[in-house]
Amino acid sequence: MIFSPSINFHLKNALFSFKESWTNLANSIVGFMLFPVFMFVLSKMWQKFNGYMGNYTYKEMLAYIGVTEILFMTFLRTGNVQAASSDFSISLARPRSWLATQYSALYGKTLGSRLVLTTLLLPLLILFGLEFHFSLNVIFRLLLFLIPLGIFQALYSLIFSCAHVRFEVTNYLTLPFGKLFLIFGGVFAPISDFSEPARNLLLKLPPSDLFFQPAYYTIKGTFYHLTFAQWASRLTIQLIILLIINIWFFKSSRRHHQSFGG
Amino acid sequence: MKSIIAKDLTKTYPKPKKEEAFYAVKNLNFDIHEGEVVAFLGPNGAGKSTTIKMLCGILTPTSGSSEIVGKKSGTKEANLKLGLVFGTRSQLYMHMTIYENLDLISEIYYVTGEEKKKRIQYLTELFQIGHHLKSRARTLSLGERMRCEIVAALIHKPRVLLADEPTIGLDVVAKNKLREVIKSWQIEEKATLLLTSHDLSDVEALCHRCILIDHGQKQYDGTLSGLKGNLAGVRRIQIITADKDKSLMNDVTLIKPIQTGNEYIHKYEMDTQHIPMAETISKLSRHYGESLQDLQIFEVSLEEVLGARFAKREIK
Repeated sequence: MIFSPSINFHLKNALFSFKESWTNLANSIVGFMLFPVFMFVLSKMWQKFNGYMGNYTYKEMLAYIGVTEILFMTFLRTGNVQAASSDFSISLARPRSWLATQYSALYGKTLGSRLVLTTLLLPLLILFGLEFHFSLNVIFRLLLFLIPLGIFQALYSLIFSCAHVRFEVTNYLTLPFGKLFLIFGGVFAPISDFSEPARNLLLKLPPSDLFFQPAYYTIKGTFYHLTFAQWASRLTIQLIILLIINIWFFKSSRRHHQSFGG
Repeated sequence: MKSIIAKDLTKTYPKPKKEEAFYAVKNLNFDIHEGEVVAFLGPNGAGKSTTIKMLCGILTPTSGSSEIVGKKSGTKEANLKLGLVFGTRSQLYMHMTIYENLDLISEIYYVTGEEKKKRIQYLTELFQIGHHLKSRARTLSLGERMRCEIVAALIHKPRVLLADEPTIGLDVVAKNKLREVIKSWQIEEKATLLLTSHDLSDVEALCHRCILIDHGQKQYDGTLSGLKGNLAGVRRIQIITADKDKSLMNDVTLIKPIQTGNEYIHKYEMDTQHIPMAETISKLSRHYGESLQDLQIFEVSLEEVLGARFAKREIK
């Protein structure tokens, strides 16, 4: 046995959760089909509106949109899928930590889906006419980010799983929260293209560390106006805050859980 | 040893507009001993499911406490001793196979390696679900799925099983099959079973003791026959006669005839506490003579007893 029994369980749980999320083939195929469409449409839009700035080439932008789409398409939605899969209430009466079990499931879904989409990205980039060497670099750099980014993004999803313990419906919370990350994370267009003071403000917000900076790194090989140490320390602060929020919110939600529906 | 203890268990739900809180369960007290099979009965909204959810730790009581095999409800130690089946809620992941589900659920309860394999094999044989192991949960019929749900609940060899309407929606055949396997499991593992069901035939088939609650408070705790009270001795006798002109037997005061609308079927109601059954049958035999084709005796069903009890119930 390589890992402790508890880590083995959570790895198994993560794999189970990933497999479960990909058993709905129709849903997965639609996701695969939309992915290149988004890449094409969004990069063309960028070319039309921001291309004149000359910060990026069109090919770099294709890769950037591909990466941010992978990160965003697999962000937050997992919380709701998890709630619908198996009854939530029963999972609260089990001997293993609910938070840890939910977390490993969310992490498995997030990371697994990202790995699948990343393998799809390489042929797509080549198909869109990008050089093989550049495409391979993008994929390699993205792979380096997937494991640490999954940790944070699963923690964000976990907040919504905790919300589901307390509230019957959480869709209305997930949607605006997702949209905030979409706008402030530079998913459609890099934050570096924004004018001041928006650029300076957005660069200070957490979404830029999770979407813009990693995507920028995959195409440029460096962070935007940030060293690796600064990026890592910002993420450490986020990690501590997210852990505190999750533990507090779960404890509070647990006390108020009403197990709706008889 | 006591397997389940409920001490002054109370749960209130807040009402909108700052009205007084609604008591779903109020100061409920009971004990269940190891190996007992107990029915937890009451009409809709009586507080049965809320009580079960407090016992297993899903809901936090507003006041009072409960224990499972000596451990506080909701703790890891209590959850390890507890199996849960909800007829209206599934613990299976619908898109995964039954084996994958059982495999993961075993690990959640720290059942691993050889022990897990043996347990899955034992339960799949007992509940006859071996041929479903490779099927996805969503492809099974309700009856098949319920058997898998129960296997999932028993995978860690719990000392207590809380079953909330496990036969809901099942047809007669599936229901009987499920009862049979639950009964054989309970005898085999000498575990404690607390069962709630609106289908009282489940209760009569499995339980000896019942706890009746209404408006969140205990109304009765004792044997099933005790619950029937004065009706325990009442029997209904159905006669099939070959002579359609044969009149009902009206001359014995303690044997009350009931109109049926069918000339060949006559029904009577009597109480064995007032007139012995042998005397009743002898009187009926004399009355019908050679025209008597068949005779059947029925007890008053639990359904009728509870129906009569809750007929005038005020809905809050």
